[in-house]
Amino acid sequence: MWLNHVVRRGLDRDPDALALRDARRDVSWRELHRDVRALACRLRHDTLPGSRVLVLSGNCVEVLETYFACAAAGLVAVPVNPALTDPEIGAIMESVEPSAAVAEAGFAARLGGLYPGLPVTDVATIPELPDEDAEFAGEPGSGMADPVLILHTSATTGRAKGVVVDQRSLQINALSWLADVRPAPGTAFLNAGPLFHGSVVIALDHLAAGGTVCVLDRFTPQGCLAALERWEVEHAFLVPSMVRLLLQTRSLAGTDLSRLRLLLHGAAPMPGELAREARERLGVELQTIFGITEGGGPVLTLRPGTAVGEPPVPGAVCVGVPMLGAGLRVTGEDGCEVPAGTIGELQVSGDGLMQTYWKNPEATDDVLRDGWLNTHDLGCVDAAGRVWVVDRRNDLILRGGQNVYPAEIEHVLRQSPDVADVVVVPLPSDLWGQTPVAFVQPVEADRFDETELLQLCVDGLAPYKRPTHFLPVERIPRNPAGKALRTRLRETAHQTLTADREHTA
Amino acid sequence: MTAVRSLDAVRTLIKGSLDHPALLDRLGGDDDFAQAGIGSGELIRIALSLEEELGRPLEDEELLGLTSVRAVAALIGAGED
Repeated sequence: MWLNHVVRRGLDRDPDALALRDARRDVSWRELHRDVRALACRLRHDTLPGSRVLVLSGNCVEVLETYFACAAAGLVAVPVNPALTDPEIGAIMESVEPSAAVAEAGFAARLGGLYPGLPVTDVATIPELPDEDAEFAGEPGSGMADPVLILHTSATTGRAKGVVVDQRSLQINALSWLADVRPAPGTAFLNAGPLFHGSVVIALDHLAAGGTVCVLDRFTPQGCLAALERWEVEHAFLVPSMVRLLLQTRSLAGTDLSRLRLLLHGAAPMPGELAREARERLGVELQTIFGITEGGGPVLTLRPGTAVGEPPVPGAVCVGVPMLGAGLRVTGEDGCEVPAGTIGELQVSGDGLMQTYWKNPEATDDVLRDGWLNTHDLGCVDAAGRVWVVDRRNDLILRGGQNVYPAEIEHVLRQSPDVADVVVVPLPSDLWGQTPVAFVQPVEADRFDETELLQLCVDGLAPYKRPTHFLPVERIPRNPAGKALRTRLRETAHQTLTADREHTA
Repeated sequence: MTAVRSLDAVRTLIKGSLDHPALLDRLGGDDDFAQAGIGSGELIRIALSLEEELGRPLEDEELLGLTSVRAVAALIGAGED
């Protein structure tokens, strides 16, 4: 429905205009329409409607084509981070039970080992698939309430959670993006983040607006600057760590960014000094996006040039107002809404919310109730109606814009026979925002082996989830109910490692 | 710079960009960084250190070639020629 409509509209309006581009290909709306139709036909041969299609690939235009093709064929795309280890990917496959996969050729053998017999289409061959227009004519694709994507996030329970996204969510998000970001038709947008991440909906929003989505194959600050210049990018979405890296590379001095007008940022708080430096040195306006994958992507925004005044509490970050179609309330301990100025949990509503976590009703009930999604962020609304984020209520670690739950890391470290107890907490990082630190209680004092712990993490976790430090403790501090005293450990990590840095500097 | 000095210097430089410098001790000169568990964020930091070492931005091809200790050493050698 919606994604089909986006492609059809682009085809009807200006078939030769550029819809997608990456370092290898420019794709017009006519070519996008052809590729989507061809891949949809191919996938239909291997699957039944509603089946899941695993997508395992680095960034390229064909990944976006695959999402459109799944929607056209009534299938559900399940993008997976290729940096995940085999056990991590295997757990996702066991959960979603894919009927087919679209993957880079180099990953075909990996998938074959994890899920024998799974038909795999090489993502690079999509432009060469036969066009079967007649066979596919009149197919309705998936409906507005049908799932079209399952996006996996880190989990509070040690296993990744699949956020089920339907076409209505993508539609409302695209319309709110038009209202609150206002890209003009033809606007060149740079997608610098991974296409398996929840921020991919922003690329789909720009396509819905008739823009051109430029896909960066992998982020490096040098490559990102080159892409911004070469493709004359006007809008880009970056996480704060990426912005900091752009400002650190020597490539910046020789890059022409005169076409870049708007830098959208989100996924982690943007420090004020970084925002000021980015405005000055990149010569752009900044727009804050507060999004959550479970909320369908962006839900709050702070438009450029909005004066917000002093934060209501030190360290609070203003994330603006609800975008079109989104609702917001702040609730207290009793679950009731609290007045302006009072800090509580931020909850969002609207047609963009996820349907459910895939096969996980308990986790769904934990965050989604009566049409309201609990973001687990703590914040308040000021007298002018603007939303401020103060802190997080749960244990989520935000590393370079990617979510990492301590439970996933703790689960892996507990596999060591030398580990009696373990707790992972965030440590502030100038570059990444936060990094994980593991406090480890060994079964005996002389059995703390950092090398073994590191190897367990290398084997079982994607690199961005790996703790930056392992700290031995005699005993993990817990309250009488057995709950780890995480706040105390966060403070200990901060004091210990800050002192350590000063000592070794 | 001799090859041995170059590799030693490169290893020191790379270790400064890693969360766990011990990870590098297990790697031979030609072992692939990614296969050994060095992440993309660490590779970016290695590249920024190299820019400082060379006093110039790195080209795309150079960035793609940062896959092993020996590859980094070759780049530093090239920068001093």
